[in-house]
Amino acid sequence: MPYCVNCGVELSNTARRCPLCDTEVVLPAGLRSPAANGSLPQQRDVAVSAFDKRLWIQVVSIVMVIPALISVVLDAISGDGLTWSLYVAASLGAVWVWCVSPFLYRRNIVPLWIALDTAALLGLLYVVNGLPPSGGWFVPLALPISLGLGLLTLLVVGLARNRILRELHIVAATLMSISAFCMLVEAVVDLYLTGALRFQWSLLVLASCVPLALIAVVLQRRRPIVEGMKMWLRM
Amino acid sequence: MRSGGQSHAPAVGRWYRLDNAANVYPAIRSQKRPGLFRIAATLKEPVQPELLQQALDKTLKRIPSFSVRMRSGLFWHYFSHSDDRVCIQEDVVNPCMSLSSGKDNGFQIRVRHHDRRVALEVFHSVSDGSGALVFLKTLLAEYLTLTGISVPATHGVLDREAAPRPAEEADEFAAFAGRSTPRSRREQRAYHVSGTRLPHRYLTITTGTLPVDAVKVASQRYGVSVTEYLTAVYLCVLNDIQASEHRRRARPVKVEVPVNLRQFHPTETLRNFSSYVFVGIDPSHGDYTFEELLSSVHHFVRYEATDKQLRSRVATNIRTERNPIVRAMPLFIKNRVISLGYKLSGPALFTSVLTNLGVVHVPREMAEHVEMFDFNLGPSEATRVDCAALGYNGKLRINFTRVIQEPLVEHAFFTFLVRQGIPVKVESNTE
Repeated sequence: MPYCVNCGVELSNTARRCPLCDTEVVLPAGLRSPAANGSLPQQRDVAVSAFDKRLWIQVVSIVMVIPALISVVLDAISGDGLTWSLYVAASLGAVWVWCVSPFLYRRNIVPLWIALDTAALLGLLYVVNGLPPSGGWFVPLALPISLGLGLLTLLVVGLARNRILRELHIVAATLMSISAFCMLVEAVVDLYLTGALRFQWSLLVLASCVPLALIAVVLQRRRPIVEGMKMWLRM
Repeated sequence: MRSGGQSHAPAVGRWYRLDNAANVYPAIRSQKRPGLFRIAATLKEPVQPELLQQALDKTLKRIPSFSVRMRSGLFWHYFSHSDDRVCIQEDVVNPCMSLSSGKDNGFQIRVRHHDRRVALEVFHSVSDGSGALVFLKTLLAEYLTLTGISVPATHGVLDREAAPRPAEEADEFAAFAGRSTPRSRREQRAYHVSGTRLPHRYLTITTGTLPVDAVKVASQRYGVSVTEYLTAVYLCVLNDIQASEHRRRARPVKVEVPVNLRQFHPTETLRNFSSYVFVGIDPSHGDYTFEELLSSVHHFVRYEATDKQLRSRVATNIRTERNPIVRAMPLFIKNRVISLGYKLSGPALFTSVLTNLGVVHVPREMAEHVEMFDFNLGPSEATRVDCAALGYNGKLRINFTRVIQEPLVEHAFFTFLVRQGIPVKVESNTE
């Protein structure tokens, strides 16, 4: 019977490492009994979700498709071709993508659904831009703002999911992304309206977010505070 | 259990009210807190699945309160009895995960087998440890009978040929509380062990096997019971772990110790009938020696785990259940209120759970074919590490369930016992 030289506890003949301290168990050849490991099940239970993704997609699809179809039919029989119903159809289509995209795949591929959501937003704005009174604002305004929003979201979520950012660092990155997005919006709008770049209100957002982000970065170093916050938020 | 249908009617079509303790679990259950616990028996021969399934079918006829599905009413959850077959499942390395409406067919129990092991996993609304142990013993007795070994209906094994008795399905909480005055739930928030979460809702079970005699000698040396001794050791190591974190402000270290109310109020019920006491110390009062801790635990348990104190604690829950405002709330609001209440007066108030089912006694005919019993709690994201123990055949099996990677608590606990001169054999589901 093997013992852990570090903990002093007896271990099973199958153990290669102590479960308590991870110290390697050295046994003379022939004393280890691999057959005994058969008492440990090999199957693993997977966590099941009570949320029925398929039912959700079906319900959302029905709720979106029926009003869209009714709008298109009513608009078509009114005689002027498809006009206002395109707003309705495009809006419902975008809402459908936003509601359904997280549940399309068995694995939760977050970059994919952020990309789909951004594409849906761009599609909606493109349709609105193309309908009278059209403005030609899609390329100079909607495209950079929507892409900026999508890329910043993708950046923060990607860093968090890959555990490059953790806990309060995620909060700090989110705050900095909000300020960056506000500056982008102000820059794009200024360039579209006046042709000149003058940061004003976005600097106020930046001035609010930077101190908060710094506080989050400092607090992240205090493990008891982080654990306390996680405990409160998780329960 | 208060039965909503006629208690002597055939089981089919019957529905049951949840008992006072059971009402909390459906509102708070999640993948992070599935609310299951598990009792397992390791036989001396490999299990024959076909016979185990037959034994389970018959046992569920005898104990129909385990053959139920959870339903949502307008105001409360309730159990509906079903005669559908509860199918046995192959055991897994990570037990006590959330019940699934598909794989578990909506039932609130699982029976699993692997090699020589038979395991019962029970959602806590259905029963407590003592009730589940009676079910498992009856199941094993029926299984052994089918293999040709006759087991008498003694030592907690029910007579499989008899009809179910209404007393076995009774909710005894209100009768136990009587006219006792409710007490305050106010407690200080407790310290919680920190660590790195295991991925994918995985959990690690570390089992320590100790000679019961050695633990008894150690506890008698200090003039305390085995549970008090284990609780003091647990508090001591949790306190040391908190001290090693160098917190600016140390929180109280408290262990929730479930108490079987059947010792105060004899009953045949197989439903929930247990309460708890919070045993703890406040490190801000100064450093505790192990002897001081033992004395503190001993006197606290002797004061708190008494008939009067426990009646008062149960009366608090009865008062909440009978509150007209709570009763009038639709279930979807009530679930959120219960969840919030649990957040404020649940795991936030204790560091961990230590439950000791005591010594398991079985008929001699069964003992010859059962090598050991095991008891473990399901995962809890709030406490992160919980502990369950039982004694059988001269051995005390202590199971730690944890959802964090670091085995800090088990390491400190078992090495403490080794230093006390108690030999410990350690196994884990990660081997």
